[in-house]
Amino acid sequence: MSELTIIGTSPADPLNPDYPLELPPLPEPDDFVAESGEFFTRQRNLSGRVIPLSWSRRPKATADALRQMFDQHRNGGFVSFHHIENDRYFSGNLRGLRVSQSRYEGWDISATFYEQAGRALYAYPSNWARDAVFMEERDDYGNDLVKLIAGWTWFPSNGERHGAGTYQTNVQLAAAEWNYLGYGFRVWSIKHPSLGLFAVLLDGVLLDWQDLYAPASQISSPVYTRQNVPLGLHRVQLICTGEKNPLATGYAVEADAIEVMR
Amino acid sequence: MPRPMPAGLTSIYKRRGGFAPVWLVDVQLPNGVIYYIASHTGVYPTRLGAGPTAAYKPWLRSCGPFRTTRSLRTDAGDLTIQNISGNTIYSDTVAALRNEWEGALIIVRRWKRELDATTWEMHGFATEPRLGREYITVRMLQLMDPSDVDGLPETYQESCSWRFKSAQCGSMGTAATCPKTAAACADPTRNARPRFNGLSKPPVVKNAPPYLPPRKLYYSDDPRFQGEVY
Repeated sequence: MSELTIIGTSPADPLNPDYPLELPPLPEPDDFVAESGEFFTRQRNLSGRVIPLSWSRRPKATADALRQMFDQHRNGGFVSFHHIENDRYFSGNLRGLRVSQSRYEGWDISATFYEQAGRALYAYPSNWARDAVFMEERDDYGNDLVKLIAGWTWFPSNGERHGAGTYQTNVQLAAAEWNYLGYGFRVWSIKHPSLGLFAVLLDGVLLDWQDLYAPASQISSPVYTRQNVPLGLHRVQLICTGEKNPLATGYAVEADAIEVMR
Repeated sequence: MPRPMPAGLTSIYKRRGGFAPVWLVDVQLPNGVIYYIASHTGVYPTRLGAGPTAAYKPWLRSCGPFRTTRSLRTDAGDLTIQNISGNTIYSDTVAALRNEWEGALIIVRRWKRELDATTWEMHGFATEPRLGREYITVRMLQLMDPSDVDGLPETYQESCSWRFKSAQCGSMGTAATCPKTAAACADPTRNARPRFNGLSKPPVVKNAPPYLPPRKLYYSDDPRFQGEVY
């Protein structure tokens, strides 16, 4: 598996590029600015990061190793790049390799690492506090970010829910869907004595059922985590199962927010 | 009459952010082979083939612009497909083009991911495939070209052209034959006047006064005065 071919296996790896190396964000969406000055965006590019790499004044052995790796995986292969400082792995391809000798036994190498969507990662990102963003049920303009199927009711936040509020339903098979570009995700919700069970699906595949029952009300927190997901455009569905914990007093579930790894 | 839009489309487009729609192209060659090509890879519902879904290959480089006209005569657009992927002998697209693409049925759809629905669709047939080093361009023309229709299906004449008691005629009368005139069609034994497709002459009014040219105006004491004044 190509993700086992790693550029930067450890801090002592001679193939580590020059640091500090700032990680660029995922591809930005296309912006449209109306005459009023309001922004509208559409995400068209669904690929990964484009990371410029450089190796300055390296021995020839490093240049040869990089050249060989580049040739080995240029046709239908991919490699992993380990960003040592952020401790994150990316799968993709090296392109545009340039090797030149700058001095005696000093070689300058440059290349661009193109992260590819859909590729397995050597290790999946797990720093939720630093690298994840929230997707609420509504944007800041009040438009729904979540696609709702069947009867959902809006409840403004009472301090326990994440963001401005949440959607709630007790209709069996009612679904809430989010589309996002990223890696793994976490589902946030309150827990309450009156809440039931919901099913979590990723890209149409059932992952698990989650029980939102708790003896006492708990503020919104991650109730389900799926970390090992390759980069791509994903769809998360929360479906009201119409079932509950025997101790629960109701069947309702909530679509509060999801946290997606970027 | 406006095209109906999928339910929920308005709420999707109201959002300040979102994902660009996907172009889906279903191509059915004259030999029956079907290709599924899109601007973004994924599994989507199909319009051709057994379906209900298929894995679309991300070969589509650009789609359109499409021009549509009221007369339908010049509705057309271009599709550009990548010609890079493949093996050392054939690119993927050229391998597909080894079959005849001229006249292939093409259905182009603009698919909105958040809605799981099509917001625009056009049916056409392929023509003029042009091979380039990196791209292949296919011209897509509309299915119906009014200029291909050879005139009118029947001639306009004074008598009816329908066969008597055919489905077009619709006569349920007792007459066995019909002289194909308007009067005969209206006859109670035929009673199919609404279906009569001949051009009737204007009706002749019996005992109508003949046409007289306007008379000159004379004063009554004029020796040329002959009678009434008009």
